[in-house]
Amino acid sequence: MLQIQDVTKQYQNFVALEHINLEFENGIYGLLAPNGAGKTTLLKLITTLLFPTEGKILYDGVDIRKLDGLYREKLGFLPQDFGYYRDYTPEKYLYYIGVLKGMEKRKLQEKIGQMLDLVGLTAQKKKKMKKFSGGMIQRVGIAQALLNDPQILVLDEPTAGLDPKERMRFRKILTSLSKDKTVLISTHIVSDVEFIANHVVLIKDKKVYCNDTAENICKKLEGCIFETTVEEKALLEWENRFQVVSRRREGNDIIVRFISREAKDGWRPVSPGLEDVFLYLYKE
Amino acid sequence: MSQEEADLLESIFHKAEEKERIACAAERLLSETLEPDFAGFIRSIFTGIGLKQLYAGMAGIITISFAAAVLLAYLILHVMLYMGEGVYAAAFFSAPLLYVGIFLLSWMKERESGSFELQMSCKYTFFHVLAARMFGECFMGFLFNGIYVLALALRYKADGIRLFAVSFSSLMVFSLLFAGGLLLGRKIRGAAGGCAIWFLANLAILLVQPAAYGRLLQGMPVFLFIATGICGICLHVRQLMTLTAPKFRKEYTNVTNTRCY
Repeated sequence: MLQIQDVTKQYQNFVALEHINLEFENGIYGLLAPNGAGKTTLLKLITTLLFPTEGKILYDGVDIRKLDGLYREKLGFLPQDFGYYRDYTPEKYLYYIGVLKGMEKRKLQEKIGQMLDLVGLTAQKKKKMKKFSGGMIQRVGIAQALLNDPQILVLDEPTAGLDPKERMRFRKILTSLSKDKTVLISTHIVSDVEFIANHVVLIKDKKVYCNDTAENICKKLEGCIFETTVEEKALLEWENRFQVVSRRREGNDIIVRFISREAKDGWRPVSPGLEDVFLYLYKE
Repeated sequence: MSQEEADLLESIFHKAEEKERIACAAERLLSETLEPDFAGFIRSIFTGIGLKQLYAGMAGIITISFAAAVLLAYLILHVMLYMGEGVYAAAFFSAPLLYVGIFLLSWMKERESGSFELQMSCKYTFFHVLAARMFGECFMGFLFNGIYVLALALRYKADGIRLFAVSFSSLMVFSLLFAGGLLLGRKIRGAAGGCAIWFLANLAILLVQPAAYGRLLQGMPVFLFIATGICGICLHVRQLMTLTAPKFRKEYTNVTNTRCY
């Protein structure tokens, strides 16, 4: 179990996170917040890239600073800007990262084969990575994060650069892995979290705003999401009056989905989704 | 006992079990986190990462550094002979060349890859790799200098043991300054500062007191050079251990604010 206890992170005069308390058990946790809200800082604290200014992070009751290498052995991390050696093949690259992760060299080759197969790069295993597309590089990144069969898997914007098919495949992989692992996904792509996360952590104003299931979080906006038809010329005024979540064209009319605390005749109430909550929460 | 009481008791037992499980896991994990000793540190890095992976994809870097070191050593030798300083001064001045070359080029390779964050989340972090490479560069420099001083001793009929002792102590003093700069400056710029101090101090003595430079290297007892070199090795390994410790990583990230090399 991973526990974040009263963690504050301050960069000189700027406070990035304030008194964060979280507990992560096995399952998928989606970390949702707009850019600059402190998601990446939180992930960097969990992956020991940064150290808390106050508070501590415990793994099975022990401070991760004390565990040091032993903790990192149990960690898989895909950073947002995933760095790689352009002249390496994915096979060679994964071998190098596997060694840095402290994996047994005898088992490594077999594991690399499995990982390349999992991310669909077996045919390209001997090609230099400088010839890869962004999506292929991201798949190598996912493979390296999973390589050491980590207990804690931390993924920062994992689906960036993946096409819809690859994204679906990635979600399936994560779901199958999450039985006996703690998976943390930080993203601003709400659908990534909505479909696969058991828990959603929302960060607002440098603090944890809520940590609950997507279903429970969405319930908070029950009765506040509506759809109605508006004329095109009235759309601008509508957008000024309400917080419009989405709009779609149907013939000459436009169907708008919006948030309102009050219901009115002609407005169809609809079930709220995580995207609605996200927009409601971070409207400013 | 009512159902409510039974549930309460059950939850208390469950919490106690969970607490005990965490305490056991903590004890187990803590028992594995003993600080390594001097030899254990070197062994764990070199057997853990392995020489092959430590220098994977660096054949070009080593070849270029080696060629540059040979060329510069040759130039330095001729300059020293021209200035009347002798072969000891050339051996002393050239000793860190290979170290600097490999370090500089391998660091540029890491910087270009942008894999700092990823490496910092691995068991062996960027600093473990850096420390192991610095130790390896000392060893390669030692071998390179050994061949160089042997060639000098044969060619110029000089005292081979003194030449070896002079270049050994020079390499180790340089390594200490280099790693010391990195540890104090908490940036690669600090290491560059240490490197600059070594070269500028040598140049200053060479230019201000030209006779003293060669005289000192020829007149000082050999055992003092060897003792300096051996002390240098011990201190350098201590420096490398500090480089991989969480305390330094914390200070380094605080200074760089997150992800710089």
